[in-house]
Amino acid sequence: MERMGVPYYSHELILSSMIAMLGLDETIDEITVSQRVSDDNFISGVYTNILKESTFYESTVLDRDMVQQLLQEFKREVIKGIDVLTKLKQTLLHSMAHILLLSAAITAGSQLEDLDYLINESKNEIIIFDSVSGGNGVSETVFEFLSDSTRFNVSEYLASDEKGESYRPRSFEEVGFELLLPCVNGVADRIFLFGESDQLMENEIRRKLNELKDKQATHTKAVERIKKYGKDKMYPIGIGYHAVDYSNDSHEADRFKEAANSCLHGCPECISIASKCHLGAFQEKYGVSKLVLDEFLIYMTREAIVDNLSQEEVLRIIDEKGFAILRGVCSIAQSCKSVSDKLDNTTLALDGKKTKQGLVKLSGHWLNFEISNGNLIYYYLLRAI
Amino acid sequence: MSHLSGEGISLIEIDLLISECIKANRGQQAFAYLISPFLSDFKIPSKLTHFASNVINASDIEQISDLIGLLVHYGGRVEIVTRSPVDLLNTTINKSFVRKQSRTLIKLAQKKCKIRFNSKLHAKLTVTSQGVVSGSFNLTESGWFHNLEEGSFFQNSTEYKKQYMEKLNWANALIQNSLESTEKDYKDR
Repeated sequence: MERMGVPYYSHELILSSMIAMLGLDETIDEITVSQRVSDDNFISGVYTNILKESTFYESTVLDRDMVQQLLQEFKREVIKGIDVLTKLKQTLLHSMAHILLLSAAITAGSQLEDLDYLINESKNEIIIFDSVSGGNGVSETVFEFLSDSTRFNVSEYLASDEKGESYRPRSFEEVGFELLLPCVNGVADRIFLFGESDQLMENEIRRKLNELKDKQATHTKAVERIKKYGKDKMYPIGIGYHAVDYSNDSHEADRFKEAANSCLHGCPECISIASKCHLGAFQEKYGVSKLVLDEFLIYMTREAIVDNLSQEEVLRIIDEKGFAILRGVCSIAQSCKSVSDKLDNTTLALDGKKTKQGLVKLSGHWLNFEISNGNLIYYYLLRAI
Repeated sequence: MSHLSGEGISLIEIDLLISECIKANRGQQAFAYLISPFLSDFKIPSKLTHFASNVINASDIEQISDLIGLLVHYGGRVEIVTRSPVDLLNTTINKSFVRKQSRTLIKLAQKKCKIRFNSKLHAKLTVTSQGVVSGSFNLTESGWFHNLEEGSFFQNSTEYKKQYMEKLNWANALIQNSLESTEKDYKDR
């Protein structure tokens, strides 16, 4: 679309109309999709949908010839498995670049405008640099606080400068890891739409759930329709206005769109950086995904995760890697208290134990909600310091 | 039961309080009884405050009073039993030390901690719903980092339930038998 000069603000309209015509809200079977793309009525059907959906946009109606040309080219496109993998890799790299940029700004206490990023896909490389010619010192500050050695020793601490410092920035590594954790807004949104939310829950999530419950009073129909579509369709139904039902109420469309765009792939509180994104504010949501980063984090830490709460296993992993992650899974439909109690007990039983890499310290706690199975997952990070 | 000395003292004390924050934040009953004749507010080494979380903000703490305040913020109950600055002024203890004690108590009272005084207090204990730390160390920077101190940690687990309950009951009785403080008791002196 960009190549053919379609304005950015019209991309979502066209995409939404194509989703409606292809029925991506109902099926993602690739053979059916291919058949529908090949159908003679595909182009005219998309254009009809564009006209119908245009009522929600303030821009002028899109030129029919341009749309036709665009869709003809789309029909000629061949999407292979490798293209999907490439897109996934690009999304992961781009999402990670946003995380690193945000971490750098937080570590140095600077604005996002003071920094910029480059992605070298061939080398899987992300470069963060000062956005001012000649430099402004932000990258240098980040480099200075890149990481913090993990060993804790009282005599070393007492002799260090840190003791006298009134404030010491958190390291880039520490901030980056925290930003990689599941976004609490996303967790709350997913629990609200696809889980039971009346049991004991962390304050932050409970507060967000209460906000969502308050909103449900005015968004009843929209929320019901989203639940009916189901968790697998959250992404396509959130694009454009093709999935809305506004037959009796003109505001219903906006309510649905607002609710369907809940935090699944990224919000301004986690990885969205709007106009600072190289893709631009309109395109950002198609180029980054917090969900992909969540999967990446699980993949990267898989060998350090202990599900069986075996203390011997945890200590063996800490000896080897310097850290281990205790994981507890419970169905949100049941009480999670027994799971969290067991994790609390195991964590404290291991606390202060000697390992080859230092003393065991509780260094993190986070939770996630998996919409695929309705499970709430607790994580406790233990590391040697 | 774990034997504590050196680095282990501050590590266990901090993790016990952070664990209580996690519990309080989850809406479960959480508390901390901080029993120490002398108290001061001091900086916690950054290596002990590294904490990655999407539900609690433990990594933002710098001073011990921040961590205690965080527990109250999440809904935990904090009771402190210590020596009264008024009493301490009548001893040979350095006046600047007493002023430090007053300032710490003012700060903790502002953070909604309940403060009680006991003029005979010499014991040092931290009791939470998940365990007890007891030993020779005051809740001061010297107690945690400078002096040669020793102590024990009993987890509230099936294995150490008896020892934990004995110490919890002792702490509860001490709280009952200590005087509730008012602002004038620790006003800057």
